[in-house]
Amino acid sequence: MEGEHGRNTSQVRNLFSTWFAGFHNNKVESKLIEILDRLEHIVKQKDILGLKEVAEKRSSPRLPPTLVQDSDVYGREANKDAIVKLLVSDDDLGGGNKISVIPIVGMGVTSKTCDVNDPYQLQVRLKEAMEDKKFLFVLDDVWNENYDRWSALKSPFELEHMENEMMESGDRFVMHDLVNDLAKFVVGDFLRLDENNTHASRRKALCAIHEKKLTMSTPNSVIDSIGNLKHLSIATGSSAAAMDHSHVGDKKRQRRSSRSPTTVHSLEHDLLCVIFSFLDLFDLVHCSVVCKSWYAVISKSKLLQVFYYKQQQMGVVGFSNRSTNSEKSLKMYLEELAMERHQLALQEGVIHVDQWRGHSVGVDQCRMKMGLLLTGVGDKVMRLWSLESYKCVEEYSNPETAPLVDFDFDESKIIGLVGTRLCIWRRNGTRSIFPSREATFSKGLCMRYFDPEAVVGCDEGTARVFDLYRRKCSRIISITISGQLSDQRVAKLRSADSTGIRTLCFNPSSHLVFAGSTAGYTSCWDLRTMRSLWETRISPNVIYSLQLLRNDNSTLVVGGIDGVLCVLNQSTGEILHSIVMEGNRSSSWRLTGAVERYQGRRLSEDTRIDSFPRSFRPPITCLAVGMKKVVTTHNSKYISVWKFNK
Amino acid sequence: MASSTSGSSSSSKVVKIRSSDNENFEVEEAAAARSETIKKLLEDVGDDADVIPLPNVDAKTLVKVMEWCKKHMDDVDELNKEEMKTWDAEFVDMDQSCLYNVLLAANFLNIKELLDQLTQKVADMIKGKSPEEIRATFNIKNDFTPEEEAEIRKQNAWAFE
Repeated sequence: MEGEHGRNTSQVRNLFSTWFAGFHNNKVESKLIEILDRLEHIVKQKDILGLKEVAEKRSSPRLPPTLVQDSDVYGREANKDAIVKLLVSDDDLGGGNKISVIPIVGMGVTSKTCDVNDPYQLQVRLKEAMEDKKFLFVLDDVWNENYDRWSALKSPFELEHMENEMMESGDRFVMHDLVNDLAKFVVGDFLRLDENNTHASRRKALCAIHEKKLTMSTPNSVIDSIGNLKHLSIATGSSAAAMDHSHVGDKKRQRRSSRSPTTVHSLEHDLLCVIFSFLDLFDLVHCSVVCKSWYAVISKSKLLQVFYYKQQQMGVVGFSNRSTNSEKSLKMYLEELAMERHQLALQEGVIHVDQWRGHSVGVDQCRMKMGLLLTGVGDKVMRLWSLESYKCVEEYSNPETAPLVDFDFDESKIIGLVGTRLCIWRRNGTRSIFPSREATFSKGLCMRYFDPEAVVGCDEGTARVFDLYRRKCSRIISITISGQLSDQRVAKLRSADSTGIRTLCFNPSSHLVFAGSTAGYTSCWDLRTMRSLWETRISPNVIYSLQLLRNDNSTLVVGGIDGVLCVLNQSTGEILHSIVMEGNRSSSWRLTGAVERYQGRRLSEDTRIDSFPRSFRPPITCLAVGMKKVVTTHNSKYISVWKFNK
Repeated sequence: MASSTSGSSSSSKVVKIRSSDNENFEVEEAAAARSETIKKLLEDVGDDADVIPLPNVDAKTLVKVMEWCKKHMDDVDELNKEEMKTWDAEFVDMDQSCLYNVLLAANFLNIKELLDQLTQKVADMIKGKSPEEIRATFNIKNDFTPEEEAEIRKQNAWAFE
């Protein structure tokens, strides 16, 4: 055994031989114990890395029947092949430096499918591996107690031996003490000692393993540890595993590094955890959807929880109602934290405005959900954009001759108000229109959609509620004085401003409804009390649109004809900021064409809006609020995204 | 036993180290000892140390790591702090393949400060990016099905609103 390793030129051997040369004896033990600890650690790592052990069919511990050539082992075929190949291959192993002890340990763990206690499966693999090869089996004491098993395992090989005259005769089976084997294995393979150093060191190793063994539950677990290590280093190519001391591994790695560059995939779980720990909430969540392995790292190590507790310790998380709502889930806390970030970003963040040509003619409506933006009305098509790439991901054209008036969408469909009908475009491509006949309602002016219903505001003074699944009008709410069509009680919210209301917005989580008027007023009512809470004039001109981020109860964003983006406090109506686009523009090219980037500027209270050229503040015909961002349309070909980065 | 004055630059003792691709380097002991792994080996081996092989670090990476170690050999006084900061910032500005190699080496050689700088650098490359931009930056293939990705996005929907 030592002879086989004697000519080994691995650096590892040099490292440890020099190391051993200057050694005092007691060090060996601690080192070996350390190695064993690391082995156990690596086994744990294997689980963290998500290398699964497939639950396989196990044969009963009875004596195996006659040998059947078919393998009953599922999963890990590739790994097994790799191991077997490693064991039997001739090349690259440094001139006859074939692994002698490892095969047994390695085979025993030919990936756990071969239960060490199940000689049947083991022998199938062994037989394949050893065909036409000289071999020496050194078996550990796993089968000591049961000689029948031992002979059962031996039988097929002896048979083959008799048949095959090419094979040398002689006893190729040696029964061994497990502990002794292990010691040789560790010393011989991991430490790669020089021949002349071996004897004393192995004795040391033996002692250490003896000691260690006492603390381990079974000898098998030692085998498993080592086997798993071996397995890991083969399966992963292990460019990083510090424990991969095998000569083969070294060679593989060298070849690999000279060929292809190291990628982020070479970073293990622990290192990724360190990297992710530098990230903020949003970055962390973004990382979790990048790929499966990153998701596994973040969820397995509970990095979001860790993040939250860190915030709590730093006193950043300051929810007033924390103590009273102990049942609140982490998810809700994180969402609250996110809303705080959103609010802070709108108020203090650096503003960039990205603008690109989204349509060939002017459009004046936009909706935003789940990182997707839908724009349209004015053009023949609606376009769905990815806000991450500003790429148009889908396009929907209006099949009707009547123009598109309003639209809304969710993850599976787009609903459009087309003349006197509703049109549903499924994201997968099918399209349907209802009611089937024209003129069940007079001209629709606006529409909002809350699954499963769409509400259409009609010019005759009714709001019609459509059930999208039953495809019919389920309710009609009339706001005309006669009220004869109405089956609902209608209450009126009054405001001091007598001019017309242009736009409405409702916050379901706070029950507040907001309105913008032709004369530039913004008003707020509480629907539970039907009372007006506040009214603020934010512009001398018409307000076209006001919106808030879903679940955000702090800020309201308002836009109108003067092209100024106003950020209001939802509960007081106080104007927090007025923002306009500024001249310094820098263009950048994205996948689909030019995106121009402008600066956003917060105006001080005494700034005269007139002093900003109109070309930099096109009227805001519609806006949509997302996390730390606002999208606006301007009845032009351009779409603008205002990003607030704190 | 190795001298315990590993932090001092007055000791001009050199140690020999060997990269995985069999290149030998002579490094001042004080610089090499920035690596806890090497330091520990030196303590174990004592004065009869021959060449220390580093089977996980290739020559190109080792040069980088030792460049850093040499720069950080001595404790930095207040005056040099700013200069050092600039130097560090320039040091970590390298191509990604190199960055990961040095990072893995710093991990293997147990050089905590360097590891901190490099992991911070990778984190900075992630910051403020959308998932798609992160994939593009790191050349990561999206191995989720659209349904799986949608499901995960839903778990923290606010981050994607």
